[in-house]
Amino acid sequence: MKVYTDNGNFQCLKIQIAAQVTGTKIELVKVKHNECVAPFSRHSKLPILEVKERTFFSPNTAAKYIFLKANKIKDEDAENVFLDWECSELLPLVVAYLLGQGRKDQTVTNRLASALQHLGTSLSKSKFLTGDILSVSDVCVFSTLSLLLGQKNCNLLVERVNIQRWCQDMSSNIAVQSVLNEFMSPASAQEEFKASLTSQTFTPVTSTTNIENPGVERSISLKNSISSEDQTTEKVSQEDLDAVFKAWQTERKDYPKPRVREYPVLPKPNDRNILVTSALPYVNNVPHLGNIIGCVLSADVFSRFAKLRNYNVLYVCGTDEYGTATETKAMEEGVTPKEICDKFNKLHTQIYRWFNIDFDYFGRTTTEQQTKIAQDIFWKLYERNFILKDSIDQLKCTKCDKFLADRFVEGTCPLCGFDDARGDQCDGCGKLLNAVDLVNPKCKICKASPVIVNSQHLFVDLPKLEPLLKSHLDQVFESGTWTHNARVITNSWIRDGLKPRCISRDLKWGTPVPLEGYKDKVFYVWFDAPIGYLSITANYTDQWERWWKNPQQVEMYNFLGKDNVPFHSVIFPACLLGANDGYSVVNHMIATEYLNYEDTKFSKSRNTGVFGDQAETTGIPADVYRFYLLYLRPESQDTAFSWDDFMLKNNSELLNNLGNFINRALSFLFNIFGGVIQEMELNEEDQKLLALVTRELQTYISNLEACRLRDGIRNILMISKLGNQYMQANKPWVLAKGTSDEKCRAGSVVSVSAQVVCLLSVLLNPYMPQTSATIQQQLQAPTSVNIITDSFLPSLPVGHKISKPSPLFQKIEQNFIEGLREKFAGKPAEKSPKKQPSKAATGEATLVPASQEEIDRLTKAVADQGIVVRDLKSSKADPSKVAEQVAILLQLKKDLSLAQGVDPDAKVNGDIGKGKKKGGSGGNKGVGGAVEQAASKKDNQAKQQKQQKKAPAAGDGANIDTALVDKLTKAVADQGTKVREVKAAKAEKSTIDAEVASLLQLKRELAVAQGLDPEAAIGGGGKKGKKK
Amino acid sequence: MALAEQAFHEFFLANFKSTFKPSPKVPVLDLGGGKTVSGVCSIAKHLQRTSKDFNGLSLEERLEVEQWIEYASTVVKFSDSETEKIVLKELNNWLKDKAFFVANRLTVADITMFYNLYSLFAERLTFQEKELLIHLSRWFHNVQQDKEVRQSLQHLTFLRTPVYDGVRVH
Repeated sequence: MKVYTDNGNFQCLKIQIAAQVTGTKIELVKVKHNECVAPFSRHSKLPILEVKERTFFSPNTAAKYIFLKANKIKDEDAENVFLDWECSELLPLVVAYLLGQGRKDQTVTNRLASALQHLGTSLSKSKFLTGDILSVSDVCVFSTLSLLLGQKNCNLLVERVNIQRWCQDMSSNIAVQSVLNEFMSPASAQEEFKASLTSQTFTPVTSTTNIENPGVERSISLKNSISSEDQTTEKVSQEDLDAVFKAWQTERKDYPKPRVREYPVLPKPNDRNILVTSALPYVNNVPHLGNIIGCVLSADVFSRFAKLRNYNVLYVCGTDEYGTATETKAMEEGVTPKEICDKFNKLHTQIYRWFNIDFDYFGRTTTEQQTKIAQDIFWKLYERNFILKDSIDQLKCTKCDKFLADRFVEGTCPLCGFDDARGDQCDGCGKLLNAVDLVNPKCKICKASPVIVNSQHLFVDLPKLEPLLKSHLDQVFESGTWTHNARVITNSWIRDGLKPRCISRDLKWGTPVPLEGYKDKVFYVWFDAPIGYLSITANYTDQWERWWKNPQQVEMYNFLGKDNVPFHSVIFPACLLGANDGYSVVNHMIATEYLNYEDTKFSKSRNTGVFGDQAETTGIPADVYRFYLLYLRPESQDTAFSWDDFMLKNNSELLNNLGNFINRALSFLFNIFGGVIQEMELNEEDQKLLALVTRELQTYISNLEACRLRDGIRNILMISKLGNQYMQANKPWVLAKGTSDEKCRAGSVVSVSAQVVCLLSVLLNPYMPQTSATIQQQLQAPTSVNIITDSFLPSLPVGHKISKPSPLFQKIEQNFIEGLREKFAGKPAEKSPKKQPSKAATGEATLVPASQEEIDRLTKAVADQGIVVRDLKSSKADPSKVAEQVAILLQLKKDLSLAQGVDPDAKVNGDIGKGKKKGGSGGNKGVGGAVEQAASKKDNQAKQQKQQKKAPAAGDGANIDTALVDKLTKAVADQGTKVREVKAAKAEKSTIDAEVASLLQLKRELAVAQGLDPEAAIGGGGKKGKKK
Repeated sequence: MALAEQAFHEFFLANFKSTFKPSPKVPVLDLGGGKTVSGVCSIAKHLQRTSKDFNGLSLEERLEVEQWIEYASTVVKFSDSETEKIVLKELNNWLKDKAFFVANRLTVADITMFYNLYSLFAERLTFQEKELLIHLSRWFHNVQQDKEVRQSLQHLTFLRTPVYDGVRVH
């Protein structure tokens, strides 16, 4: 037996004494305090007894094991009772006492005294705890108690005759003595003991234990068990209670008043002036729930909170309207880009209005102000030599006859190899890209490979601006609130070294570049979109410069998704700083991660997920969406919207917790006291509630100040939970029927509860504004309550009358949620027809003798997998998914061949040859193969022949004319080289086109020869041809 | 009395019949002959040692069960919001390669732990947290299938497919 312990660990006394008393040999292994020996735990659980590869981290169990092993236990039940009492009652109290809690908290000392009383009583009956013989419970209790013996000024043991007698007996035992002497003898014993004690974690002293009946009589009375299970931090200090009481007495006239907001909101000296921006949603997308929580909703919560804190806040946002995407969309619909923007701007406005997003101004980027300000900033940069001229290679789609904007090019990321990277950014690694660097670029519209054309462009000289930017970032990183991802992304940008960034584009729909020679170009959207914040403010007020050229007085908060970080933290600030016009530059950046939908992503094309305009159609109030989105706001990691969880949170948190408390409290006040707030005489319990609520309130404030919006919701829910417990513990409905004193008490309880409700209505405002208003309407609360102070002030004066309360939330039923899940599932990405066996396969399988069960199983599996692959293909699933399924199919076929005793490689090889080139018609092949295999069992001899016959129809790889395929493959390769050459030589478009056409024709022929779908083959071929 | 605690008492009643005296304060088990065992923890250990439903363990295994009973009724039961996370992680780690706490079979250790974790699982943990505690959740789901263990407690829903899978930690 090995015992691991640190020096000075008194709990090890139990084990050592047990071993000494029973004459058991143990090996002592000394480790550091806090060392983790138990493999499953990252926390020290010393001492640990190791025996037969088991670890006993409970010293009592370890000691008992040693006693049992030595056959020294008579009555296990009797021992257990004392051992359990020791570890759950005595030990926590002794430790708390030793750590000095006894001085602060008299109850610790009192309870310890009661525990000792109990011990004394037990020892009055017999010599030792469980009889006349020293046993394991004596060892364990004594080991803990011995700590008190050495304490100076400890009078707990005085006059406890039985305990003193027993302690004498114990310490005179030679075995006990030798262990104790060894423990006490080192010079550093006292320090080691303290170090060890503080490194251990002990069960905290809880109020669950009934003071009147200490010891074995562990109490689990109703009231106490609620507080122990649910209230996690319920220790309230006297100072807290005093502070709460003092705040409660504040004169009503001294209550702070909410700020009156008047148009236009402008910065004021000596105020905290906060400018909140939310990333501008791009105009031609309908925003989904992920977009909404990502910026506009998050910024809304913060801005509402800041307003309730009486800060001077301006929240602006608008639609980002310039760019090719709009231009293209307009072309598709046969209208002007302006008309498209008007239409979508209206849609966005409606959606955000439904979600109750409280913008001070929601504008758009296609305004005169935008042109004016963007051009002004450009000129300032130009004059200060921060603009470079250079020629760049740009991708042009010859088929569509236009330069391709970054987001209209797709291809493989040159950095990480992610095969679905966009021209401006890779979703795989998050790095920004230049579209021309993409491997295998493709036009997003027509899928043709674009060509590279050279033209003159303007660049922002970011390397030259870097020192300016860096010094600003160093400062705001220090002083501001920056989410982890915002810091990391920004830092990685700067670490990788900034490069000049092109800010002009060969487009028409944009802010025109004012420089001579470039007047046919427009600014790149990412240069001018953030300038939209300025122009939108300028459209809100002509005094916009008081916000935007006022860095001394204004603090700027940017809310955005993580994909937008570099534009807001690097490019935009660099431009503003470079313009040197006294601009306000970002101080705080709050970036979210992504919100997924169920187990996939939101997707407009697949129609998966809830989009802004659809949320209303579900009949669920906007506030519930707001609550749930904020509850799972993707702060430190991606999260997923799940309907099940949505229902759960609505029913458990909103309905059963928050709604229940508010409705109960107000109903009692209304029904028992006619809705009139009663005189409140605060007793200790009330004060404790107020102290705990205040604690949550203060955490709420610090959470929201730091933009931890998710955590703020938890504080609100905790307050209503405390309220529920308070009601439950005091039962005003019972008190109301009692004596007049009791009725008075009931009045206090419901009135205090109503004050908590009023506080909740204010704290809820940023998260659920509509609900907040409804509660305040039920409370008949004056608008002056809408302010968040550091302490809890009772907002409703005695005698105030509330109106009739009604339930705030509705239960969501399972079948309703099922309906919504189905409605928003979109096109399934993957069907699972695995359960439907192919008719052919089953038909054949019945003919096979039972001895071939395994072959049957595999045959069926191959057939089913074939269907899976085919379905995937026909639903145009992600090629990597198809490849995955094809791989499974091939493996199954191999297994089947093995089961049939056929050389699997010979069989599968042909298939692989095809499967590799293109996931292609793997499905057909699969079924064909399955049919053959099944048939072959009937007649093995005929197998080869049959295969030969069947294969062409099924397109089997085994039957491909390899000579022809080889010839065509070579022709395709040659033609590919030729195309590349003419392109490189910048030959005429018509020449290139002709060569490309002939390449495509060759590819079609090759595909036919291989038994593949020729059209699909071209797409894939295009990809291949480009790879170099 | 909290629901889970009540169910634990119901469970004892089902096993000990009238010799078990449930009490909102301290439950007592009457062993006859003036001998009693008091306290949930000691009664649980008694059940493990004497019931034929749970016998067949080695001494080491039986004491391991007792150790977990003690742990459940002290550390787990009284954990606060800070220690809770540590405790849950520990339990999850312990169950990483085990179907049950001890000896690959249901013991009173599992049962005691179940009651002490129930309200946490029913009321506090989010689906995502449960998913992160994958081994503990799997164990919990498994234990709650036993009707005798569950008693009057509601069957809790666990998501079959991990919806928070593939979440990147930054």
